[in-house]
Amino acid sequence: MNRFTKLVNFELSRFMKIYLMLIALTIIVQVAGVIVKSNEYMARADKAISESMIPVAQFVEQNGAITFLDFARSLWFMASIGICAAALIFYVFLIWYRDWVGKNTFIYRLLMLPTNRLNIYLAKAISIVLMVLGLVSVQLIILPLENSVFKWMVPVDLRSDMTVGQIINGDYLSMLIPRTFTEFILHYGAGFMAVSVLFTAILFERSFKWKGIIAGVGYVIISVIIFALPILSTIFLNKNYLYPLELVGLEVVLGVIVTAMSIWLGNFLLTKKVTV
Amino acid sequence: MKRYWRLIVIVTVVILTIGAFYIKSSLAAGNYPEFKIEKISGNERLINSVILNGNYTAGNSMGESVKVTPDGSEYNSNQSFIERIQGLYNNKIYRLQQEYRGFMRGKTGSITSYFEEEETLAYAEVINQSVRISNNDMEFDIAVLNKENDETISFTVPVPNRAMYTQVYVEDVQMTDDTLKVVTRNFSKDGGNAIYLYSFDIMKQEINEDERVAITGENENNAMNHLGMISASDQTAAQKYIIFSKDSPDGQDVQGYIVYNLETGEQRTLEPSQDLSGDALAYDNEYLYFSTGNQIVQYNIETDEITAEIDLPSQDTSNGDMQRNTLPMLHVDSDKMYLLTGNPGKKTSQNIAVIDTTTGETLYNGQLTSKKPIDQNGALHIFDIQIGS
Repeated sequence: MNRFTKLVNFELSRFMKIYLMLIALTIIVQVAGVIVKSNEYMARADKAISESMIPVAQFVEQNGAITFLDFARSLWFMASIGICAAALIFYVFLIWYRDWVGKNTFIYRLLMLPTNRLNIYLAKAISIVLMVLGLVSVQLIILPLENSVFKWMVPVDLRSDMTVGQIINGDYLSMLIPRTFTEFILHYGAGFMAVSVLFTAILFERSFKWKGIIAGVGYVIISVIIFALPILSTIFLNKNYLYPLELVGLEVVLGVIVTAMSIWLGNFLLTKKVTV
Repeated sequence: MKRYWRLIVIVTVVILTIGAFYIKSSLAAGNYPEFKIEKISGNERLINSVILNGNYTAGNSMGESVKVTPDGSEYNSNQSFIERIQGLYNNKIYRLQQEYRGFMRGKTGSITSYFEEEETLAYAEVINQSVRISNNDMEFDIAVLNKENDETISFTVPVPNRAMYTQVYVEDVQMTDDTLKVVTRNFSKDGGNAIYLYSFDIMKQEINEDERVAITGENENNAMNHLGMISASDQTAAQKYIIFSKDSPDGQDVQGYIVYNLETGEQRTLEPSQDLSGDALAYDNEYLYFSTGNQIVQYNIETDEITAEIDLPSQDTSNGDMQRNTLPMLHVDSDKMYLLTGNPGKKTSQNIAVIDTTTGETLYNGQLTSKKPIDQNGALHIFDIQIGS
């Protein structure tokens, strides 16, 4: 256990600088987005009201009151979230490959540790999950702050206020932060499954080099097919035999199977097949 | 411990933030206004089992679906995940799924595909139609459940002349004895559409009759007039007639109604007249209900006379709203009529009335109210009046 904690902490430390930069970038870009978008709208309102002498109420009726969703749907927001997502997906690969690069290949030392090699695999997976959840938490913390900045920038008769809950449920953010805790577990459970499948594919490549790439890609395809089996069968049979709750239950079972298979295979490759 | 500070910080932040978020969202009622039905006059018991299904929108968000009852409102967002995914269906379909789980498995289609009587549950849908594949495989998927002995008869039959159509949509299903009648709207490849009636012999498992009831473009002046189906107040109940309106191409003016008697196969056209003007809302057996703007007219299509006129609660038009008022919503349940009037939004309130259809007497009058004033951009749109669970 102690060994494992050490490994997780170690993995986190190695990415910490870039991770903190991602957090800083998210905060700066999003707050800047709120300010820029508010100013744009205010400039438009000012122009209409002072130059064309349109009353405030009429301007709101014609253009719609500005809501926080106007930022959430803007490039400022989407790009900042997209960059973080892309960086973490990239790091899913880098977290393994960086160990093989360099003069003193670090993987030697990792594999020589007097610990079960499964710990190395799981520590890397848990680190990725923690970093994803960390970024989601940062988003949750800065949303109310951004909402305050918005309220402070735009006068009350030009805006329509939303609570943080409404902002999240009202849009694509509900993918990252679902409405209920059950869905949260389901979404991030699926995320963990995806990470484990990719890890195992990477280990296929590390074990068998060129042939391993084919094996890795093949493994990803097989995993996707197993997980999507109920949905694929609906498409091919053109009939939906399962009730929604049954479908969710089946997906959970299949997800657990795919995850367990990936971890078991990953452990096998790491213990028996991996080459340095 | 000090060496692990990164791990400790991340884990603590994640647990505290995400934990706090879900605890808070399970406690807070979503900050949406709490609606209820408040009595103005009449017998409150009549409205006890009424559920108004609607959607509350604030600003430009996607809105939240909500059920309003006399006691209060329940928002979709406050439901658990499991409650929510089970509530994906139309309420009536959901009830049928709970009661006849085996029969309903794999059945798609909207509520118009179902017919329910005391002893029978029938289903008809046109399957194998999609934009991807050519629709030459279109088939009727028919199933009839005998509720008493729990026996199901199911079969598929190719849609006659299916190569002509791009889409076939089931508008209504009716059943008498062993004959299942399916009313469909067939969209043909040349752009027009027609109402068809297919009769199925359930015992022989085949189509024994198909008939074109009406087609667009029949009218000489308006080649592309539109056929609007008037929906029965209870879409799964047995009906003697099917009624549709012949609309002008823009769908604004009604040029008459076609009434088709399902028992005799006779068809006649009701021309618009002094008595027959306004917007048709729904029908229930021989009664067709219109809204003239300030009255609801009950019209007997067998005797061709107005059998009742019910005054609508006066609507506030002082806001200078040039738009047409939203049509009242109507639900007829045996001899009682449930009527929802008024525009969504803050300007006018929405009223609900229960009216005796035989005497025209108002048995109950109530108003949709919210505890705290609703947001200036907020609006509650009711799209369905449901009686009982």
